[in-house]
Amino acid sequence: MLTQEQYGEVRPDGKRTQPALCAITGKPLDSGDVFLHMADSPFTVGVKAAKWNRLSPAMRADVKAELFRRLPKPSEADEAGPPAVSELDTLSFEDLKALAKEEGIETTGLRSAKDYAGAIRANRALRSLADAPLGGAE
Amino acid sequence: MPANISQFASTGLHSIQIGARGATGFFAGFGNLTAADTGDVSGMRRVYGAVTAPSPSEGINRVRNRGEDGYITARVFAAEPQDFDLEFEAADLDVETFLIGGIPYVLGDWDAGLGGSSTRNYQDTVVLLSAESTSMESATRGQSGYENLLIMSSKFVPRPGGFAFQAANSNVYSGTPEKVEVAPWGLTLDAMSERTDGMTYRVFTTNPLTLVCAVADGTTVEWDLPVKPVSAGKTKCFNFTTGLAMTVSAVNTTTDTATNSAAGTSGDILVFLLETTDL
Repeated sequence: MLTQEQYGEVRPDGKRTQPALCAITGKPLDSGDVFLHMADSPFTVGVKAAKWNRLSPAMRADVKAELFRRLPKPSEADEAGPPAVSELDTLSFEDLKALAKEEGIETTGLRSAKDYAGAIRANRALRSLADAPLGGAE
Repeated sequence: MPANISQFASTGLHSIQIGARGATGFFAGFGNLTAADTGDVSGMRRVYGAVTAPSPSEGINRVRNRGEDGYITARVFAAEPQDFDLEFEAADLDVETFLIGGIPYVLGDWDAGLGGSSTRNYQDTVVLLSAESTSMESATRGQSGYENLLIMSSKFVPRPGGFAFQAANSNVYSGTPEKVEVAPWGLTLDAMSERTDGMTYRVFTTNPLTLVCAVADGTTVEWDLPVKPVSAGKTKCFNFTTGLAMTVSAVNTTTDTATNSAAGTSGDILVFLLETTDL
């Protein structure tokens, strides 16, 4: 995994930030160095030119692929919204606690992952009931 | 200040920047990019502590030592006509290995540069010298800018620095320029200046000039520049591969990007010439 300073990300305005440090040597980058972009990735990786210009094109492709492999992946959870009820059993205890906090659930008395998953299920069921249109005759 | 000034006098060396000249004469950045490096960007390396940089043109082979920050030495440096020496007080092992090939040996926390090597792989180099300069035209007399000398093809022999008592060490690279027929951005000199070959181009700019290489990937139109551009008008882009100028429709001086009106074909070498406030 590369550190935050070794890769640049997409900013809110859609532009990439330039990394501050070389992803291979960890040394500070300057304007003569190489900035690698991958069309379908939100990340930029910087490499010291002195390292990069010693590599053959085939080796460059390998290094580039390896560096992009080591980049943090965009969080799937962030993109897809909160986990579905059916996914609760696959989450860790810590994730469940965070999720319960996020959903504003009263956690007093909850001790285990099962307790938290149950509370989240119950909370969502209650919310869906509250959001549902009222039935019956007009 | 007007866009163009053709009468000026320089007052002192400002900066020396270098980058690779690719196999067909294109500017390849300090990263020595090739057509295979699609989507990648590389600029020029500034070599700090510049002291001496004579003109490589015929007949001018002596120059006073005058470096950055007004530093002046009493010596006059002489080089053979056609050759020229770049002298620095700052060492740069990356530049040395760039100029003569090989790799620095990583010795624990340190890079160790090898000297005195008999087998060398000289890098064809594009050098850009900038001097602080003043307009001599009547309408703009006294306004400051930069005189830039682009030396399009040179190969350098590094001469290891001297260690002296009560003096800064020096690092000298002796260069031999060669004539070229195609500018680093792809136009022929004949098309540009009605001369079939030449060594240098000289231009006056309001801010220091630099070059950036980007390798088109077929989709990218907005390129992250490694330095801050000044304006779209002071940022030019050429497609070396097609030999055509491209239109830079916008630059972003906050995010340091330049947007071309079209993306080149994947593998096309794009060369930006721009003024920057980062030097």
